[in-house]
Amino acid sequence: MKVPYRWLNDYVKIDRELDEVVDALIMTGNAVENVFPPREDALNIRVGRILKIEKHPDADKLLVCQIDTGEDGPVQIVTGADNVFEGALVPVALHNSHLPNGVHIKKGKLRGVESNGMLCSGEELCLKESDYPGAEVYGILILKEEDAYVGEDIREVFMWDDTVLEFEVGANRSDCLSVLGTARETAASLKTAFTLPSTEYLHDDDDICNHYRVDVLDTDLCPRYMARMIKNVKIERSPKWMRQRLTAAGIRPINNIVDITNFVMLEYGQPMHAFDGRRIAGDHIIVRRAEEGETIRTLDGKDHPLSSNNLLICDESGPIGIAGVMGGENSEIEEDTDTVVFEAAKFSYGNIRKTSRELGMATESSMRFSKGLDATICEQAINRACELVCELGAGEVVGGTIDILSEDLSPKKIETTAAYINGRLGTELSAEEMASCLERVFIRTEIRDDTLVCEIPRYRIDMEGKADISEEVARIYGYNNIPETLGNVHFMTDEMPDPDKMKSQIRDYLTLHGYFECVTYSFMGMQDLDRIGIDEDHPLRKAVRIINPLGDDRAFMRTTMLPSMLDTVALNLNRKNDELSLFEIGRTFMPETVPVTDTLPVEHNVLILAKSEKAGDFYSLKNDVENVLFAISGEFPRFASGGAACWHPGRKAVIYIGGRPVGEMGELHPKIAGNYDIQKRITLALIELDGMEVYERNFKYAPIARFPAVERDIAVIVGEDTEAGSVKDCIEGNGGKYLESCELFDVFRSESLGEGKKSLAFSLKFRSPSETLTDAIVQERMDNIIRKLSEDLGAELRS
Amino acid sequence: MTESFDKIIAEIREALNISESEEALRELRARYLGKKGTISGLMKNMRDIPNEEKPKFGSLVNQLRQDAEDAFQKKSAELREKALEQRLKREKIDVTLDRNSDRLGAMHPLNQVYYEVRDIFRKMGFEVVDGPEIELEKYNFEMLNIPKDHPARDMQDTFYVSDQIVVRTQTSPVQVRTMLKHKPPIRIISPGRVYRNDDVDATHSPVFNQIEGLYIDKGVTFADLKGVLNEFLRKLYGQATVTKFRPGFFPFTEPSAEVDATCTICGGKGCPACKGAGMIEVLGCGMVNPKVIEDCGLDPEVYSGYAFGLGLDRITNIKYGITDIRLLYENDVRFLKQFI
Repeated sequence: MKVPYRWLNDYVKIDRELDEVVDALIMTGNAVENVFPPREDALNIRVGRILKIEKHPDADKLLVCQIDTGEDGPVQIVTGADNVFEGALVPVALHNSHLPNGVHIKKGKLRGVESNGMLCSGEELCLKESDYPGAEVYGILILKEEDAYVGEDIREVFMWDDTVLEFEVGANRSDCLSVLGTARETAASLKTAFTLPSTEYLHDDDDICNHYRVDVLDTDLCPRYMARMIKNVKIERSPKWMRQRLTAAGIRPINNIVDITNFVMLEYGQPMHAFDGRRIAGDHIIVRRAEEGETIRTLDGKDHPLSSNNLLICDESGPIGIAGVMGGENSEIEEDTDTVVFEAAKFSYGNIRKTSRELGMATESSMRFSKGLDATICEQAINRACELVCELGAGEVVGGTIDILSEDLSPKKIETTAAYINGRLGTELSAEEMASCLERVFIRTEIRDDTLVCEIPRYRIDMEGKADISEEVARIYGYNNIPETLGNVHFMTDEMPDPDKMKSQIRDYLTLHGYFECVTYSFMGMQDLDRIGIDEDHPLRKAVRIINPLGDDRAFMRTTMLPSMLDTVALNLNRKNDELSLFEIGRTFMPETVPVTDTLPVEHNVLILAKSEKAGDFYSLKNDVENVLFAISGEFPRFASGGAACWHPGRKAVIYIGGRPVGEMGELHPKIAGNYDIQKRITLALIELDGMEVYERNFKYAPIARFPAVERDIAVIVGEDTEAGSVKDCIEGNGGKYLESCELFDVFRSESLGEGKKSLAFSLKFRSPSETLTDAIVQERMDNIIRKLSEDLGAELRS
Repeated sequence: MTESFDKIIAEIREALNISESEEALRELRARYLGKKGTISGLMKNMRDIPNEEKPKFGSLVNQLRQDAEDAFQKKSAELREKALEQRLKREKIDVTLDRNSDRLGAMHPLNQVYYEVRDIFRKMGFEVVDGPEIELEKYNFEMLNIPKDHPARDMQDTFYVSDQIVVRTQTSPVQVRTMLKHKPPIRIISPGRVYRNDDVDATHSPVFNQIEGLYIDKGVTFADLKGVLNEFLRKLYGQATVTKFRPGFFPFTEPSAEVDATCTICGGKGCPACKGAGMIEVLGCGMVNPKVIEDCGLDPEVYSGYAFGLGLDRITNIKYGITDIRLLYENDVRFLKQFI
């Protein structure tokens, strides 16, 4: 909300410097977003009248003008523009002046004739046609008589000399979307007086009811509708002061009647509308919901299809406006309009908000209505509009008001106690001190014993209960005056699990081992699943769809972390960051059914790891997966070849903890890599963290073995398809209780072993806690192992 | 006889002098000290020695053996020493070379700052509580005093999943869930991702992170809120930090405040980051609206409390001087490496 400082000054006495005022406003909760100071870039430019024009003696295209700028004697200026005429009012850049476009003007001679400045075009003053009519005409800007006077500083003409405050108004304070609202807050902040504008005017003895009729069919959406009639209207430009204020507040002046409605909206926060009285069919206004299929063409020339969600202002032939949003083209004020009907109404904020969204029309009016307005403002606003009609001589006000009211307008009262407010704020204020704070924001407060009975101004629709009273007291008393205490801190009695514990262990291990943590968006598109080769009917396609997404590629909540990690890998490789060890801990979202209606999806915490070939291969990632999983679960995972189709078919594994699959790892399938333009080998692991028991490190010391270990090596020849893991399992399963460890130390292939064969060599350690093992005992175990390896896996001992 | 012994020992010493390997030493040893060696040979002469001189002869031979043994030991030690010296010399490495592996990685800057913030609140007795990111509209809005069509909903552009389900716009629903489930005192922070339907640019991201806090107990005041947040901000930004509480608006708190703290970049002198103000907005907070407390099944006449929230992305960007929020979600390793 832009508020010209002079306008504010009309209603509140400001006796302090601007920065003090701004500070005081901020500290009472009126966020001043911007202060636009008077323009300093247009200096020494004045309004002048061309007294005489003569041809330049030595140049056909130049004119020599004598100009009255209010100083003693005329100023001579040479110009090349041909749209000037004697008697014209023009902007004159005098000797030693500065133009808004940065040009510095000095006197000089043009073809031998002295020129003491320059006549300015609209362009040179950085004006657009919408700022001032004729601004984009080729030539000198000709000012209208009613806009300027000789000698006037150009900054005054265009209201460049006023400061404009821009307020960021809270969603709850619709009353502050107005000059009067901000003036009231300013008065409260500065402890100065506030005055209301005049709403006194003359009207004739006739009655609007003799001319027009209004019916409100949907009073739920329109609790109040007021109308007044203006006759003998003369449509003209508004006076300069009004146009200047509208412009400074960001609204384009149109004509006196439309400007009055906008002016009143800015002043009171109450949007108004003016209908051309001649265009109301049947002289009958009907406020009703739209019928299905009905359409309207609004003032901006656009057609809108309507539904029964939309409230319309109609006449007997159909819609003439969308209530609270925009008027219809058919009832627009025209140059020859002689009768006007003013509307000031209250519409349900929810409905206006919905309509404005549905139709994609956000107007100054809909913005105000959708924040909620009080019904009493209608009356003040419509009276102010009538007063302005008289002041401007824009027409004659016809007597009588149509007022269809279905809302209770009785005063709103809230009772509270000083003890309650002090208890909430941590202050020790007396009831009287509180009352004086409240009076400053126009809340009339009566003190009965300890009780404060507060009468809330109706425009304060945000005030609903005792807590609101405490806030008013706090902000006027000053947040900075409230003490700072730590109170009696009580900790929670319920045991709360630590959601960060497992994640911290993962982050600790991985960051100490060269990994960088990534954070990516939680969205995905179906095209991401196409890219990683997910089938049409795969469960990962059952995803939470966002009704209003940012785009196709972000229309779903992700069901897998793979695509965003691959995007990250691809981005880095593309930027020649070849050595990548990355991880992300994030969530995937699995709905029970799609589309989702009322059941929340299951959210999984997932860890994804990625290594580029320069940072490591399958085995180095596997090593990290093992250690991470041990760190968080206290158990080394098992790996079995297998997994999704996105992996290299010969380099993929399912990861098990406690016999339960918890994830997969693998080298990215070259085809999938190709979809991301990745030429390097990338190994990834996806691990679901939910359901894994956090490893509670309840260590118990066990005595260190005193007896020596017996070491034996064994090499077996197996088929190429036999995995080392199954050989190891077989050894461990049959080594007996004294087998302490079994480590693979060599894999060997040669022609002598034969095609499709490999030799695996293991180093075994046997140890008893209670005695030195004899060769016989160990040999018995070894024989058992060898027999089982041969029986179960067809392995032969390599001699 | 002693002369011949002296001659032997001299011979050994001379031979040792020119021996430069363990192998040569072994040969020499065999020659002199072996079973068939010179010194053992001397003992064979024993029978030619008169009886009364035998003990003396014996002790002289033993002495000779001992001297020879010592000489060998000494030489052997010398050789080992020399060999070690040579090995150590040979094994000199260029310590400026690297293997270029096993470097440190780093946590994402957002999480580094989150941990820092979290640890401060933990020390002040706040528990960390998690909640779903896809949330019932009821918890995200209604129970926080933001009914349907309330103008406050315009403040938050929401991603909708269905009539009743949204992608959460704030972590406040975790507060609702906690109040519904636990009896006061409740003292929690709820960190996590939140979502707004904003197009991506340098200062907007549809995904960002919040940390919200809640304390519900008997007799909690606005003054307590000021105390705890000032303490937090001084711990985060340093003891000299100055704060300013300004009235603000949030539907779920009343009174509400926005909190500014001394700009960390210029230390309060004014710079582009704080638009010359010397202060920068860091927090929103307030006393929990009694309606919210009541809707969560607690008696607002008995319990009061405060709530606060801060944008982790904003705090992180201010802390590290990051000017474009997109960098946080792009994960360029050259960016991530700056936070080791």
